[in-house]
Amino acid sequence: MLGALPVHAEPAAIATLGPLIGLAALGAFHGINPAMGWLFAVSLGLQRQNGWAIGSAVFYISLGHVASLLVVAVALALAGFFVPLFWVRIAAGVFLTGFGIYKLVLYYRHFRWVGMNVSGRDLIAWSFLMATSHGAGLMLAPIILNLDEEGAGAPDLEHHSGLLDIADTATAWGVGLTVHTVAMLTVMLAIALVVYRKLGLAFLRRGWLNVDLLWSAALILAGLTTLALAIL
Amino acid sequence: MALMTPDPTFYPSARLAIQGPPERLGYVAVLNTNGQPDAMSVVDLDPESPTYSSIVNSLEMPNVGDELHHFGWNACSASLCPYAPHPHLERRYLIVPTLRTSRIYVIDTKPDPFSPKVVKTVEADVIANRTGYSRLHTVHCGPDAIYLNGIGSAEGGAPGGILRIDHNTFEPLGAWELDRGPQTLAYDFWWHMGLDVAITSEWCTPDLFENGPSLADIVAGNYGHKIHFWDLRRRRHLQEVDFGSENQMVLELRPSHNPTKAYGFVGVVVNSQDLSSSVWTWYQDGEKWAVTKVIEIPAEPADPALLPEALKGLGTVPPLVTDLDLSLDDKFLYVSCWGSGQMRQYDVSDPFNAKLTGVVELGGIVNKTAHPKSGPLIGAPQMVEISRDGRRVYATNSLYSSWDDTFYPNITGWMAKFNVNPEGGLSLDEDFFVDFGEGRAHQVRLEGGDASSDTFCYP
Repeated sequence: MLGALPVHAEPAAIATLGPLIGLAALGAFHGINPAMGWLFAVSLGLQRQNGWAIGSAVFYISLGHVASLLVVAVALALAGFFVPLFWVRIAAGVFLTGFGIYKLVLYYRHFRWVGMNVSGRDLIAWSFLMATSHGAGLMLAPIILNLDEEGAGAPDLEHHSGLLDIADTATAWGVGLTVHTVAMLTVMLAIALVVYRKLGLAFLRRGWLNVDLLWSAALILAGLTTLALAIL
Repeated sequence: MALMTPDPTFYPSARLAIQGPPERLGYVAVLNTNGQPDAMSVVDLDPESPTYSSIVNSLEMPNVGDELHHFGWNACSASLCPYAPHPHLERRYLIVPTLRTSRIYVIDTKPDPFSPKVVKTVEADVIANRTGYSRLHTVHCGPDAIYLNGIGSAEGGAPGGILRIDHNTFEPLGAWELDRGPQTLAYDFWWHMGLDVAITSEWCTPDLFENGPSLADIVAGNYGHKIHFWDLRRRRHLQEVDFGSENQMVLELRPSHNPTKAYGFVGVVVNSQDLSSSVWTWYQDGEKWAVTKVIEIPAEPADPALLPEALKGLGTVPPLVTDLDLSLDDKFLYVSCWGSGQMRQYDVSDPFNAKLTGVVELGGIVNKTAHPKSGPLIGAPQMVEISRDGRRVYATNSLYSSWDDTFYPNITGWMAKFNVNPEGGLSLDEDFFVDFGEGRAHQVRLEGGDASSDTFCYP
């Protein structure tokens, strides 16, 4: 039950750099995964024979990605209103671990989108669905929920006056998600441009590691971390 | 099995697939009409091997009377498509539909590709109940699922259409079309993946082909004479293009392999007025699709005494273009003339100006041109397959059981090989000839993929 009562040390948004580095690292990890969008951006550049298409594709893909993260963040925050943090962590941890195991065992289940001829709005929708179905937002749960420990977590109405907490939480999470998304966007754009301009398509045959397996492992790790933070 | 890097037989682009290693073996669908089950034969294509140019194994199907015809792979280069990537699948299972009995056999080609095994059968009633289709024909591995089509409806009439089966369980997922518009007849399908456009063609309803060709129905224009364009993403009919009812049986569809290009080739088997065959190019004309005839092959006068019963009254041999295949570089189109007995090569670098660059005579209704390793041949090049590098072309000689019997009584199965001059021209490979005896050889699939097995999402 130790984790059930968040220790609200200071109301400052984020006291340490640790969580931000973690969120940035996960952003880079999401950016590396071809399924999150750099591959689509490269192919649109090739299909339209225009390198600028890559930049605009990455932009729209990032919007969809961040929209998916926001849904998860709002869900976690709402949960935090009604349920003690301990139980939010237990639920998120169990779900994440289970989802990771599901994706590991049924790793070959994949997205069913069909369509290359996409508008910006289509790309946002595609990226939102892709990130959501891969659990990209949930993967951030241990860090996001841990921002609480740093002083600005999910508001706990039982113990605190709500409004200040809400503002703190929103600021902290907003900064966190921005850092994550900028990191992802940067990595995604860099890989897309390097593959498009330097490495060429042949790179896909050798360099395309099975990120799906790594991704499943990351989900399980995130789940176990969330559980550990709840229990320890 | 999860692979850590993509299956080495998946290529992002046709350009890269051309650099792939030469095939060492091919799978050939073999039809039996003698009361024996059909078979999937493994043919040795490695010139260095002691068993080169022979059948090294034959896998019997579990049932009799299936009529194996076309088939494809569970996974191919389409797995690399960017919007639903899953490159760590394996090209491993042959998806083998049956044309007469409407089953799907799933054949595992690993661990020993020379010794494939049937690992699953999806029965006709399951397919009919879930999809409403029968008389299963074309297979293409798609980015999201395996796509097949059925020429007939569940009841054996119209409409025929496309169905999908799951990549992993091989279970039918239902009919593909959400809005089929005016389309009723079916034969082949393929797509322009870069444009989200699918194309389907027309043979006829099952009652019109199962008992053999009907001259009266050709004259009456009762066979299919249209192709249909579809929104691949929204699964909706976009447009039909009518070739005119004199152009009977619009069959094989060969879109450009480069996904940034918007053209392809389709063959018309017979013109009801003059019995010629033709090849047409489809292309985008503004917002609409259009077709234009780029190849016409006339019928040849012949001594009626040499003609089979069905053609005696006509006194000519129709060329009967029944298959086409486009090399992966989109440069050469191979056209088989199953009636006159020719394999033709056209340079289609300019898709509106096809140039005849090579002809090899083999078999034929009247000529029966011999192969150096055979006597006079019954049948003629029918199904064509091209190696990834475009250097070798294989052909088999059977079309469809009851049609074989009409045009080539006493047909026996064989497979021949042609060598390609990359600058243009082709020649018969005199060392390669496979005799299937009573078995009738149909589609060939080459190890690791060929010129009609894969879809590329990158140029």
